[in-house]
Amino acid sequence: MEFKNFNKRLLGIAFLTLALVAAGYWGYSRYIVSQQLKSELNNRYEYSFQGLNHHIDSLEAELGALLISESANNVSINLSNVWRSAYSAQEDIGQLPITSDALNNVKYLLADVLKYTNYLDKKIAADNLIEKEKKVLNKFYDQVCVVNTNLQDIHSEMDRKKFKWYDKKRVKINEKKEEYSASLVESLSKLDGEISIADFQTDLEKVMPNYIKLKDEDVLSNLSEVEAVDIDKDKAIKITQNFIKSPEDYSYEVREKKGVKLKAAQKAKVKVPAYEVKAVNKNNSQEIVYADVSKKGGKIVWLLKKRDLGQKKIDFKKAEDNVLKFLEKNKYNNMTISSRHSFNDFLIVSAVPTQDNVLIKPDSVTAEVALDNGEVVAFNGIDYLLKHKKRSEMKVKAKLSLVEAKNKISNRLVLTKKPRLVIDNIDNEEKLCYDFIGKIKDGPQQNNYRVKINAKTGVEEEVKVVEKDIYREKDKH
Amino acid sequence: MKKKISLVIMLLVVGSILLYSFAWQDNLEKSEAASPSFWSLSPTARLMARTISAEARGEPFVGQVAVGAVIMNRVRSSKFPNTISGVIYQPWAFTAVAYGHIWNHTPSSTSVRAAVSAINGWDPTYGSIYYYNPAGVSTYWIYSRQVVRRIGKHIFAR
Repeated sequence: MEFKNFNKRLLGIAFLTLALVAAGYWGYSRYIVSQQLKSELNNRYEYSFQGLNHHIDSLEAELGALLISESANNVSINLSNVWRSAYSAQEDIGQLPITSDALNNVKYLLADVLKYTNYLDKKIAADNLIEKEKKVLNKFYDQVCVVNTNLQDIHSEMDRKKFKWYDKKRVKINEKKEEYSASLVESLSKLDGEISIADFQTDLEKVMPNYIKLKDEDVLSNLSEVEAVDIDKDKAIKITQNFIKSPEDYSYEVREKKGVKLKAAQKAKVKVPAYEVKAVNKNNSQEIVYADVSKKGGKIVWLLKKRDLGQKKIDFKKAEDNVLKFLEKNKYNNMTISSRHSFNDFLIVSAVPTQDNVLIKPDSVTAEVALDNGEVVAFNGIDYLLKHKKRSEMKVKAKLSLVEAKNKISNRLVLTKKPRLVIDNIDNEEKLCYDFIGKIKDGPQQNNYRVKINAKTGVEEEVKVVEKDIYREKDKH
Repeated sequence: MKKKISLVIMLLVVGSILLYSFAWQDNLEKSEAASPSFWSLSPTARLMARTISAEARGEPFVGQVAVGAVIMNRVRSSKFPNTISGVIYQPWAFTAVAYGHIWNHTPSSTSVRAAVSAINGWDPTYGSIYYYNPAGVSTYWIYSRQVVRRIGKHIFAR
């Protein structure tokens, strides 16, 4: 009896020891794995930071070289080098684990360097840099030097203090005072404070035409500045009804939001200059139309209808005709189809207004057509709403004939569409161009390319691939 | 008594091993057949649809397009990376990406349509580059951004 008991106990102890060893082993292997992952993560972050350091360092060197280059050849090479380093530095910052608001000034500096070198790169084909332009480059150079020396100091400090990027504790900050627990990240924000963007931005405005326009467009204030009569809520519903198939089936709700609750006591002012219309199908509550109707002028800014899309039953021609009918019904006059993207169950169609047979591309509208019954299930009219106006006679009158323009394009381009005269935004300036679309001769014929020849000067304005399809399979129709 | 205890321990061990191995399998995608249109998207558009699906699950259709629009606005902004994948994979940018939720489900056809619409220029957020759920905000600096509007549970801000 005693022996049996002893045996049992032994068995129990053996079992528990085994369990302990197993658990220990499991825990240890977890620990090893997590150590490996941590170090891998740290390496990736460290690589990005090293990259940033390296690219800022080369940016300084290349801007310096550009400043003292005199021959067109060297200016051109150094411009591309500057562009490449600034772009790479931008990418590196994007991979660092810092809040998206950190290093803002450095980001603006890099973005402006990119914009300006891009602009100069085009310009120097005609004539060399002038003193005014070099002065701006010199300002960039000064700022980049500041960034560079600071970054290197911070990096040395990080190495000395064995700073680890993955360490989550370092992000515990006193948000209200913008204090970081880890002084090293704090030194990054200090560095950011030493850059004065106003200094080079005012200069850029002077030497770079269209610079202000290149800044992020403020759609909201543009929309509130539209000159038109104010409409009321009932009118907003009526306008939405015109855009819906069988509008009597829906119940409508209009909201005009003035504030949004943030937290208990806080409230934020909002000023979207549009009525939010929501229409729910009375027979099927899953079918909902959302639309914004501008308060000034009462135009549909955008409309999105949610419903299940069925099997494809109609062809693209019919779908496009539906869009044109839809546009005409809603008083978008003289519209013509400019492009389309096909998907399994719907088609995205862009249409632009024409004036004297010229396509006015900046004023485009886009519509989504369901391929089961041809209904327009989404509409985007913001560009038309903000930009559409009649262009002057002068602007739409070509000086070159089509044949003259055609002689300027490469014979490697086999045209796939009839060339058209278009007005389009090129470097933020509207230009009248012949638009040639084609494929590369004897190539794999995957992409369509677009060549724009200025119809006034004959200059080749732009050579670009036509927007790639979002679908992998190509549009075969 | 001892027998019972050892039996319980045994069951626990076996149970946890089973649970562990099942949990691994769970990492695989749940439904592969959900939306045929999803698999014919280009890789970038698929990533976008995944992000929208994971970030705006249960949000109205406009809310899903809005999340996609924020991604597109970030691509255009100087403050964010220059590509769709760069924006989506930016560290700390999207929780659903950080926790790997984007790989849990195949996006529905609604999310696919939302992604395609956002890529093609629909923007219910008027240029917003941030959004947050006011119920789950952990950083306060987000309140300093100018609010544009609220759609579903999300507040969109510039």
